[in-house]
Amino acid sequence: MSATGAGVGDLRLLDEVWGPRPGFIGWLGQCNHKAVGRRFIFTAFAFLLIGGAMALVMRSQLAFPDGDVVGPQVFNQLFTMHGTIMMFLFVVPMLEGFTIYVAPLALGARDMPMPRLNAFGYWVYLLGGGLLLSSFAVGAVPDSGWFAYVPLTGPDFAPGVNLDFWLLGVTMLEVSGIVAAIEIVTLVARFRAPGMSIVRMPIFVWASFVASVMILFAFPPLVAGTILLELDRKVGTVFYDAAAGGDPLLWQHLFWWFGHPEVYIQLLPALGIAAAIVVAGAGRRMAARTLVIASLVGIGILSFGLWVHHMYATGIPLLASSLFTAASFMIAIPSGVIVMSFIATMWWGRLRFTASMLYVVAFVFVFVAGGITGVMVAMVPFDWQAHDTYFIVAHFHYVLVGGSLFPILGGLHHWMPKLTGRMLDERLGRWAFALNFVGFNLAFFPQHALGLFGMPRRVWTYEAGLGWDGLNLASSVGSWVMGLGMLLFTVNLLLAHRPGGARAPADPWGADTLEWATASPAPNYNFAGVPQVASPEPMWDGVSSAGAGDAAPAGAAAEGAGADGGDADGDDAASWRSRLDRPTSRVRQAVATTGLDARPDHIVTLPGHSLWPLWAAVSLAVVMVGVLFDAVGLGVVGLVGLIASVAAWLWPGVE
Amino acid sequence: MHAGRSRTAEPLPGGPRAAAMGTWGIVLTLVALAMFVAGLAAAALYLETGHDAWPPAEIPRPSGVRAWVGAAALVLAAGVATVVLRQVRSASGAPIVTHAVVVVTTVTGALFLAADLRAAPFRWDLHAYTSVYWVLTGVAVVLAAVVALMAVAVFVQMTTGVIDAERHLEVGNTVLMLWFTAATTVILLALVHFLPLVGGGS
Repeated sequence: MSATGAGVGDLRLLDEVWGPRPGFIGWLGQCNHKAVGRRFIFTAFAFLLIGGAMALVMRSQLAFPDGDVVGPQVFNQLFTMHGTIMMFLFVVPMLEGFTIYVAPLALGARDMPMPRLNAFGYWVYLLGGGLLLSSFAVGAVPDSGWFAYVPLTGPDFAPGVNLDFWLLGVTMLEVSGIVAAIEIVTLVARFRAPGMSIVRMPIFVWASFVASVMILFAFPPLVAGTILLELDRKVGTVFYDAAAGGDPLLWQHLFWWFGHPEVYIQLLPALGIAAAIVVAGAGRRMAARTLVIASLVGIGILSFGLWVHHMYATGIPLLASSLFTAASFMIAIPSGVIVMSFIATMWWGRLRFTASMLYVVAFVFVFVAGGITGVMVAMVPFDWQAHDTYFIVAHFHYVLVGGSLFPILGGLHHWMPKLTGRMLDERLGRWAFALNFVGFNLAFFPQHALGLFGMPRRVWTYEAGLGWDGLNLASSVGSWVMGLGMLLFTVNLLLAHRPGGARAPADPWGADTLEWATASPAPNYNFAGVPQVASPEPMWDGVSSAGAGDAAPAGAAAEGAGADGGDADGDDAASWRSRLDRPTSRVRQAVATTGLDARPDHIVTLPGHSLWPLWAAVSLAVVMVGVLFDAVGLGVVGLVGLIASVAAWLWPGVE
Repeated sequence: MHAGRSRTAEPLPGGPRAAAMGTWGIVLTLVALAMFVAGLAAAALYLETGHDAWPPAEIPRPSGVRAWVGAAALVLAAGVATVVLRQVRSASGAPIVTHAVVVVTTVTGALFLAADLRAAPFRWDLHAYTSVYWVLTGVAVVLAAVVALMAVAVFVQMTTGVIDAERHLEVGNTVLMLWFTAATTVILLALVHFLPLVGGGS
């Protein structure tokens, strides 16, 4: 990868043009993908710590028989909020944060295509999370489980506003997810560096792209479901009321229509993170790269055909159960292909066992174990036995911690230099990894046995002498060890950012993708020119270039599949490249490319600062609060604010 | 609509070949909205298949004339809006006047749909059928109201000279949203008024 030839003055101007406005208002109005991505990542990390602390309280309660750390009501609230926080406030937003920060860099772009929409997504996420957590402040914490099954959550069995907090908060989080998905799909379709044809995209971006398309198809039905439930609760419709012709099972169908793809929405980008770490750590191209990408797409499609396997115990007809069993088995195939490719890449590469790589190795072990128990619960007779027992708790924690949390922690090690310009300490990182890995397995492996011994999930305590005592204590000790590991990880994070700490180099891992072609942390403008990509590993191929300061190498032009060819070639190409490299006006400009072969198509002027997304998000939150407390006036004020904010946001020339 | 129609895009020589960011944004938003509507439609179909009679014998099926007039108005608005887009592109005719017709027709459609709800002979809390009736028609009203706001915004932009033959992405996006709303309204009303004839029945 050759470097840009832009001058110091050009770089200073670029930095000013793409930088934030000064002061607090400037900070609030930032729309750039790096600011928004970092906000998503660190907010989600804070939610992880909150959700993790709740888990520790629950395990402390269950460490011994007849525990009295918390009462049953608080226990219900804890497991509900733990699940809700981890599913809605941690994993998906964290992965979106990684995508929003890293993907434009890895694609050679200067920003997301719709920066204000990006900022809106973050504010809605923050306010939605705040709405959910504010239920603690008013003493009305949701307490019916993270999947809010009807009729327990209907107006008859869940009076008060506890569930309304859940429904309205989750609706806001879903809106945030949909907004981010729209943004990411458009990014992939339009903002790739010239030459980065669709097959040359990094695997991480492929995975995020597939997950984003899945979000567009999976999240809206849940929004429909939550609105119907909220209408049942607030205005008295009877969609889920069996006595009036409704059906409680309708909720389960709508919820799992979203819920099962959601598992893979949480898995796929994490697989992409693991792939990035494996390739960088092994120093070679991903084995069977094309097959891995095909498997990601395959998982994305198949994941929509599995939702009923969460409902085997509801009396589903045998034929339907058989079909969903087959589909559940099928998804093990592409998952297996991906894991095998990871192993092959590690086998054939020269591995460096960094902390991030250790998390990926752990991912392989833990995720495969979770996958195997997944195949077990895909079988109807076994599922009927294990349903709602601790076996299921163990299974999905193996899948989600192995498949999402470990790659995320590895990803934080891997991309922290690019995020903040600091390296996490490797020694502390390995200690934290060891505590997390040992603690996790000690916490959750015994739960398989607990489930098979008949311990139901969501019980707040148990009697002595049922054969559960020792396993529960072991599980609780494991959770405390893992808590210690997460504490150490957090300390590492804080120490790395202490004043005067060492700065990270641009490419500390010798990695293959474009984000490593620029400084750490990435400068405001990302790249001082338009990169020219000639292969899936532009940092290794020796012919790709980092900016228009260089003439595209002959090899790049030949391999670039017309990346810079056609009518945008020659003097014209030099002209627009020069404009982006050496801006003469203070506007943020970026090049948009065509969908498949990434040919330069047009120059886009992007907005740089706007408070309208914040006002729109605040207005939406006001609407939700109005609905929550039956304050019609407040709801109308919020609605008017929302319309006004969006109108001002979309008005040409308004920032 | 290709990027040349966007105010914030500047085609490179030989281009543009690709759609504008705004077009991607509206299309993907419509995909998400379509899935939202699909969730509601699936709920209606699911509830209907659990009943021997839909609506139950004691609940009268409304005629729905007002609702269908509203849907027709939306289809008409979408058609006229397409004409507006052509007029703007070719800088011919009087697009402001034609677009005023779009605004009036769209608002009329929304009002007729709302009037259908007001005239419903039952409340939403009587039975699952009545809940489906109110919510599906209500969603059509909300969609119509949103697209009416979009049409009004475009009208204001036209009168202030923001939109011209070269830059008119907002018009294109409004046309897309209008056709989506019209089609969605027809589908939702078909589910409300023609189940179990639509979807196979019990």
